[in-house]
Parts: sequence; structure tokens; C-alpha cells
Amino acid sequence: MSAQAAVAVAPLLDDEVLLTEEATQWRLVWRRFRRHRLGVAGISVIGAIALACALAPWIAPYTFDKPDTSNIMANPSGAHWLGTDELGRDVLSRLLYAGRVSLSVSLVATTLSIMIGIAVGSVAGYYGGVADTVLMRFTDIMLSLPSLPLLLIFSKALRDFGPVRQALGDNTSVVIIIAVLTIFGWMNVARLVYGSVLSLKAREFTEASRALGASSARIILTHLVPNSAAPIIVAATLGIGSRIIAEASLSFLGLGIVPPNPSWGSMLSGVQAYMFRNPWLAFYPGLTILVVVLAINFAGDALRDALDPRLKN
Amino acid sequence: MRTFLIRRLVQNILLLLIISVIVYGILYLVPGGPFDQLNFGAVSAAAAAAQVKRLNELLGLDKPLHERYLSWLGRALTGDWGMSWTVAFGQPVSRLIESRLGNTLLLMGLSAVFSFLIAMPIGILSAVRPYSVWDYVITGFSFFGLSMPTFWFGVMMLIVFSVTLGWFPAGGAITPGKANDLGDRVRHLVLPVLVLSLVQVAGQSRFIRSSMLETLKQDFVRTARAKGVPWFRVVMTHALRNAILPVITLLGLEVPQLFGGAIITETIFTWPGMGRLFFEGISKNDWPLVQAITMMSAFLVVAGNLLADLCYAAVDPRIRYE
Repeated sequence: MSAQAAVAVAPLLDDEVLLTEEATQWRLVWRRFRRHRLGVAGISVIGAIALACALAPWIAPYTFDKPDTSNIMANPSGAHWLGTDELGRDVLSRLLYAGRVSLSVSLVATTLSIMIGIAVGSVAGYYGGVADTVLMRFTDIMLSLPSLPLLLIFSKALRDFGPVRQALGDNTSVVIIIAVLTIFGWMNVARLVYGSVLSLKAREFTEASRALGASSARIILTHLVPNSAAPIIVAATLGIGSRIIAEASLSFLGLGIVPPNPSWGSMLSGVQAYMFRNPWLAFYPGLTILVVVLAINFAGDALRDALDPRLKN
Repeated sequence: MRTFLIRRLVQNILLLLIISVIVYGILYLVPGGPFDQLNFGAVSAAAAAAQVKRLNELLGLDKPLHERYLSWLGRALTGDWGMSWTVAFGQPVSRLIESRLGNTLLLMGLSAVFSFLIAMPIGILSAVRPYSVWDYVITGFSFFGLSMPTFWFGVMMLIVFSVTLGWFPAGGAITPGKANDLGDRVRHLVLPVLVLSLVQVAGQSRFIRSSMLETLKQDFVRTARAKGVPWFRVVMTHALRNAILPVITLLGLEVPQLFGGAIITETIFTWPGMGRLFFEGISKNDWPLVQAITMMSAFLVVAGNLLADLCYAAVDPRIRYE
């Protein structure tokens, strides 16, 4: 009986079975992520919009800055699917070009914020002592600042500062907004990494690594940071959404991306002057922001569950 | 408790000092002064420049940065924030702020109360029946609220309810000549308060939901149920009192968000408050005004946090600040 069973089991040990046994961490994450319909929908929407924006020079029906004075604030038509703006520029084309700016600004600002956050949090958590006190107090101070007033002040001051303007030329507004969003955006990640490193550095594998002679830098970079990846990835995803809104708010107030370069926010700045004549002008850019940020938030939420089911609230 | 209070006070004073240095220092990068836009009539450019120089000397604006900072700080401590440069040339900043402070506090206060009153019941409802239709509707709503650019929501409300439907006025705080008409004031308040509350409601209801979910899992809730206390009372008295504790801290931390929202909302609805004054100051390089409002908002933030800590200790006897 038992000999028969052994014979029956043996053929099962083929490649297929082994493959499932060896499913990687990321494959498991992906499997859990797929179960979230809203998360998958979110990722698809972001992917489609990002792709369309990236391809804007090839697929946009017009350029973003070509005025058509005979066709100002036209209603949607076959020639202009979403109509034209106050200078006769095609709204759809501008939305696509604006997406390039809005998406890349928030992507770069988020990446930089996360790098700073990881550096500050891991050094403070790993070394403790003075490094901990100084860095984390500084983080607390930054967290308790009134952020929007300071974002506005920094944007304005840096923009009017001659040397910055000379050094950056046409890119001034883009670089400044990335800079201010980074300066005021790294603290949450720093706290996340700090907490995670504090608990990880007491674990056995860290001790084992140290016993084997690994340097502090190596322990931080190969053990502590990768093991904190789950909350960092979730924070990064959600952070892109909040930075899109922050960039749009600053640009709306005229202190972010400046015309003629369009961003989704700058397309809305000054729109109040036209809202009586053509309210739709104000509608599309904001709707785009809402859809993109909503998609990012759904994706981030699904990612949180997929990466670490325990994080679910 | 006293040592805690003293330590927090010292920390907060340090924080305010740091902010003042940052705000004073960064504005030094910006060229221009209070007299750049003055019109000197027919005099030559060189003569006008000499006049500006003389006026700057008169005000002490030619002194080195640290001296100017210290004298500014000294006067600020006595409530003298200097005079406005461009928004209302020559007027004391403190008087400008005074005339706007009430409107902003009214807007922020109403939004805080309003959003809390809405977030509370819907957060509790989601937590009591998790993963029900209601929970999904409320969760969906809060996702929308958190993904909505506030300024765009404001512009949309303006277009729908005042431009198209004409139900509410398009801006301002009162209709001229109707200063004492309460109904008129309320109509002006509806849209700004709605816009300022939306994001708050979305965030708060999520927070209350998770706090309540956590509390409902605890042993004392099961004990209360086992003793035969009705479910409604268990939720409303036993669980709620515990679930509300972390929410108090959240309210304190939301003051800066509320002020940031006020800048945007007041600008959209031309609400005569501090937020719009701040934005005007930024746009027109009126630095004394900007510095004063930033310091006041920082003070508001610090006071909010401290108040939240104190409330926390007052409602939760387990908290002992050492």
C-alpha cells in the first residue's frame, strides 16, 4: 500500500510542481494584487494615460502652443475633440502634453523624496544616539511646519532669485517645483524607514550579518532597506498622487509650472476668468487629475494589501 | 505634567524661532523693496534710485541681514509686524491682519466643526458594518474626497451653484449694503465651508473607521455584549469613548491642513480672510505681510498640537506626561 503510494507520488515531482514551490516573493505579490479589481483597474488607467502622454508628440492632433485665433473657445467638434481654449489651442493636445510635465514632476519629486527619506530614516535608526536625536528631531520639525504657506514662499522666492533663474533658464519652474516638493516631502518616508529599521536591526539576521563581518553600510543597504520595502513602495505610490495634486495646486495659484508650458494645474490657472463663457475649459484638466489620482490611490491601496496583508486596516 | 508642559513650551518656542529664521532668510533672496514701485514723477532714474536708497536707510533696510532680523523679531514680539509694502502701502500689517482674522477663523472653525460632525457618524457606521454596502459607499466617497484637487472642486462648485444655478453668491463674505443680514452671510459661507470640509471629511472618516474597528475587537466590548448591554449602547458609549482618543490628536494635526486649504478656498471664493491676504502678499512681494501671516499660521499649528496633547491627557486618565 505504502509502496504503491510512493510510486504514485513520484511522477508529481516534475518541473511544474517545483515551479509553484519556488514562486518568488514578487509573483506572490502580483497574485494577491490581481485579486483587487479596483487596483488592477487603477494600474490600467494610469498605464494608459501615462503611455498616451509619453507618446504626445506623435499622437496629439495639434501642438500644445499653436494658437488658432479664428477658433477661440470652440465647443467640442470633430476637429477639436475637447474644444479649444482662450487662445484657440486644442485642449486635448494640451492635456496630453501637460501630462508629461505633471507626471514626470511628481515622479521625480517622489523618487528624490524617497531617497532622502531612506537615507535619513536608516541612518537615524541604525546608528541611534546623536544621529537619531538630530535627524529625527529635524524630521519632526519639518513635519510640524505649515507646509502650503512655505511651499508658496519657497516657490516664489526661488523663482525671483536671479542666480537660480540664470542657471536654469527655461526649466526654472520645473526644477523649482521639484525642489520644493522634495524639500517638504521626505519626512513621512523617513519616519517609516526609521521605525522599520529600529525593529529590523535587533533581528537575528542583522546580527548574523554583523558577526560575519559585514560593514554598517552593507547591512543597511542589503538587509535593512530591502526589508522595509513594503511600506516604502506603498508610500511612494500614494505619494505620487498627492504630489500631482500639490503641483496642480501650486500651478493653479500661478506659483508652479508657468505658461506656456502646460501642466494639468497651470491649465486651470486663470480659468475663473473664462468660466462664464466656457465652463468646460475648467472641467477637463481637473477631471484628468481626479481620475489619475483616484487610480493611483486604488492601486496603492491594493498594493498595500498585496505586499503585506498585515498592514490592512 | 508640569515638566512636560515646560519642555513642550521650550520646544515650541524653538520651533517658532527656526521658522522665523527660515522665513526671514528665504525672503532675503528676493530682489526688491517697499519703494521699488513708487512713482517719483519727473525726476531722473538716478535721482529716483537715490530717493529709494535714502528711504531704505531711513527704515534700516540697508543694514546687514542679521541686524534686520533681530530688530524685526524684537518688534514682532511686541505685536508690531511693520508696514505693508505693496498690498496696502504704508498700512500696519497688524491692522490688515486684524481686519481679516475673524473671517478666516469663522471659515476654518465652521469647516472643522462641520467636517467632524459628518465624519463621525459615517466613520462609525462604516466600522460597525464593515464590508457592507454602506461601508463601500462611504469608502468610495472618501477615496474620491482624498483624490480631489480642492481648488478644482471649488471652481466646479462655483460654476454649478453660482454661475449656472445662481443659488449662492460667487464670492465675498457679504453683499454690500446687507452687512447685518444673517441669511446673506450664511449664503456666502455655504460653498467655501463645503469645499474646505470635503478633504477633511474624507480623511477623518477613514481614520475614525479604522480606530473604531480596532476598538470593537477589544475584550471589553465583548464583555459588555456578554453582560447584555444593547449593541447600540456598546458602540455609542463603551467603544466610542475609546475610539475617539486618537481622533483628538488628528484634529490637532489638521490645523496646518485647514490653513493651507483656507489659502486656496479663500482665493477661489474671494473670501476676505487671511489666506487670501497671504496669497496677495506672495503675488505682490509684500514680505512683511507674508512673514507675519506665516508666523501666525505656525503659531496656530503649534498651539493646535499642544492643545491636542492637553485634551488627550484630559480625556484619557491613562495618559501621564512625564
